[in-house]
Amino acid sequence: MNNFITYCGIALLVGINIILLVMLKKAPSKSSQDNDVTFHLKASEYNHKQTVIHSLLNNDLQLSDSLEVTDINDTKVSLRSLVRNGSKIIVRNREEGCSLCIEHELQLIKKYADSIGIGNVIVITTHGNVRKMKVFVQTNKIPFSIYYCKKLNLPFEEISMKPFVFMLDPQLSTNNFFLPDVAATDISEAYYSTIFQTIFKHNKSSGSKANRNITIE
Amino acid sequence: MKLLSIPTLFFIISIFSCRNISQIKVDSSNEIKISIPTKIEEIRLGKYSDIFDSIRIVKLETNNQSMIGRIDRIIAHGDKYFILDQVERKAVIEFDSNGKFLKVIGEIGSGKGKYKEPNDISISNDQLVVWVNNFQKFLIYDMNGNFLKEVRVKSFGKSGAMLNDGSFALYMDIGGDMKTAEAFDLKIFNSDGDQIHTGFEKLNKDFSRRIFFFSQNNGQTLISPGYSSYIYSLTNNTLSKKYQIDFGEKSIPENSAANFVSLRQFIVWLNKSEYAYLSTYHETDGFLIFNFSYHASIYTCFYSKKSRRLKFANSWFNNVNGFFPGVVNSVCGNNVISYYDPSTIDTYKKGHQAPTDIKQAQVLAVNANKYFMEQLGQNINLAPSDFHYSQKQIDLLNSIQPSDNPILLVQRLKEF
Repeated sequence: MNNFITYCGIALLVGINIILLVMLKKAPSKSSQDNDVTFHLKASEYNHKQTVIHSLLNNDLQLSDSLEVTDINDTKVSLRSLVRNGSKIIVRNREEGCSLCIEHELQLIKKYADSIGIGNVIVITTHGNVRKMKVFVQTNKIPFSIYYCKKLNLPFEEISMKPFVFMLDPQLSTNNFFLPDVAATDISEAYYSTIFQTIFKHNKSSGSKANRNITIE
Repeated sequence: MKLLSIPTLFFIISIFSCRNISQIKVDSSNEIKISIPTKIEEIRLGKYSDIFDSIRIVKLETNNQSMIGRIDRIIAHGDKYFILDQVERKAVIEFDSNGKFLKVIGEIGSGKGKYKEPNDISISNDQLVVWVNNFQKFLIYDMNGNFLKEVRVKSFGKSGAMLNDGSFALYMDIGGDMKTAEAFDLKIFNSDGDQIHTGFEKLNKDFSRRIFFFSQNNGQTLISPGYSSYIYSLTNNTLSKKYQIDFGEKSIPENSAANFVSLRQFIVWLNKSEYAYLSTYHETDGFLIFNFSYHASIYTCFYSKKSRRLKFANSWFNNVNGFFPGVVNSVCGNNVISYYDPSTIDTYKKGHQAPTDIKQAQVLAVNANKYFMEQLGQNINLAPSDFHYSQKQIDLLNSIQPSDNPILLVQRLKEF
C-alpha cells in the first residue's frame, strides 16, 4: 500500500513537472517582455514626434474662403457658415482611412460632447455620398453635424489617411491641430478636456444645438 | 506490480489525451495545370458575349435598415443574397432574389451571439456562419437568420469559414511586416473549436495581401495562400492542389518580398516587374474563374473545365450608365455576381445619355482607361460591352439614384 502511495506521488510529481515545463515554454521570456516595452516606448515617441511636426505644419493656416461642404441631406453650404458663431472642433475623417481610429476617437469626443456642446463639434468626412454618410452616422451613432468635403487642403491630408482634429475659428484659421492615437486614450482626453477648459467653458451656451443637421431615424 | 501499473497507465493516458495538432496532409495527385501565354501583352480579350449569355439586374432595396456602406462579400444561396459589410455598416444583410430587404443577421454587442464587426461569412450545410475576429469566434445561424450557437477558437484570422463536414478553417495571412509568433497561416478546428491541423507554414517573408482567402461554391472550399500560383481545395484533413496557374518565366521567384521593407514598396516593384501573380479565384459548376495581375493590369480568366479552354476578359465598359459588369465578386451555380455602387452615377448621367451606342461606348472606355492611367497609374483595359439590355432593364438602370444601395448583376456563363 505504501508503495502504491509512493508511485502515485511520483507519477503526480512527474505530471506536474511536465505541465510546468510546458507552461514555462509558452510564457513570454523576459527579453520578449523587454522588447514589447521598448516597442511601445518607441511607438509613443514616434507618435509624439509626429504630433509635434504636424502641429507646426497644420496650425495657423487659412482655409479657403470658397470652400464648400455638403451636408447629409445633400445640400451645399460654405465652410465659413459653420463657424460664423464661433470656433468649432473639426474632426476630419477619410473614408479610406483607419476606421478603428475614427470610431475610437468619436467615442471619446462623445464623452465630452455635453460639456463642450454638441454643436461645437463638426465631423467633416470624405464619404462622398448621402447613403455612405448615413451609414457612417448610423454605425458610429454620431450626434454631431456631419459634412462631406473631399479636400480641406491641409498639408496632413496629402501624406496620411489617419483622422485628425483641429479647431477652426470664424476667420477660417486652423489651430490646436491634434493627431489622435488609439493607443493613447489619455492624451486625447487631455486634449478635449483642455479645449473645454480654455475655449468652451465660459461660452458654453454658444454651442447651440440648433446647428445640428442630422435627421437619421 | 499490478498496483504500479494503475498510476503509470493513468499517467500515459493523460499524456496521450493531450490534443494532437498535426500539419494538414497535402495531396498533389489531381493537379490541373493552366498555362498562361508567355506574351501576356498580346492576350486577346474576349467580348462580353463570348463569356455570358444573360444578365439579371437585382436592385437592392434601400431604407434605413438595409443601407449598405460597402460590399465586402456577397453570398448567393437559394433565393437569397447575403451581403457582408465588414467595416462601414458592420452587418450581414439579407435580401431576397428580387433585392427586397429581409433582415440583418446578428447584432453588434459583446455577449453570446453578438459581434463587434462581422469579419467574414460562409454558408455550409444550410447554416450561415459569421467569423468574428475580435472575439475569436464563429457564430452559426440557420438559414432563417436564427442564432444557433457560437464556437470559440483561440486564434485570430483574417478569413474564416465553415467547411462541408462542420469543421472550421481560419486563414491568418501573416505578413513579413507583422510581429507575431504564429508559424502557420492556415488553422483547422473541429466542430467544438479545438484546433486539429495547421497548414501553409510561413517560411518566406511575404507580405499580407487580400482580405478574403476562402472561396466557396457548392460545398467546396478553395484557397490560395500568399503569392502562390496554386489553388487548393480544402477539406478538414487535406489540402489538394487542384489548379496550378502556370505563369512560366513570369512566376514570382520565391522569397522576393524579403528585399523590401514595406508592402507598398513591394507592390510598386511587382507592378513594374515582369512577374504576374494570381489574385482572386472562384469555381462554378463548369468553370474556374481567376484574376491575375501583370504590369498593374488585371486579367480575368475563364477556364472551362469541360473543354479545358481558357478565355481572357476584363471589365467591360457598359453602354448604360457606365456599369462594369465584367468584375467577378462572387459565383453561384454557373452564375457570376458583380455589384455596382451608384454613388457617382450622377456625374456620369450629366455627361451621357443612356443607352449609348457601341461607338460612344468605345470612346467612353478609352477615356476611362486614360483617366485610370493618369489618376491611379493603372492600366485597367476597360473595353466597351457588346451586351444589349432590354428596354425594361435600361429603365431600371436609369431609375437608380446615387444614394441607392449597390445593384447586383447576376450573369449566366456561356458554355464554351
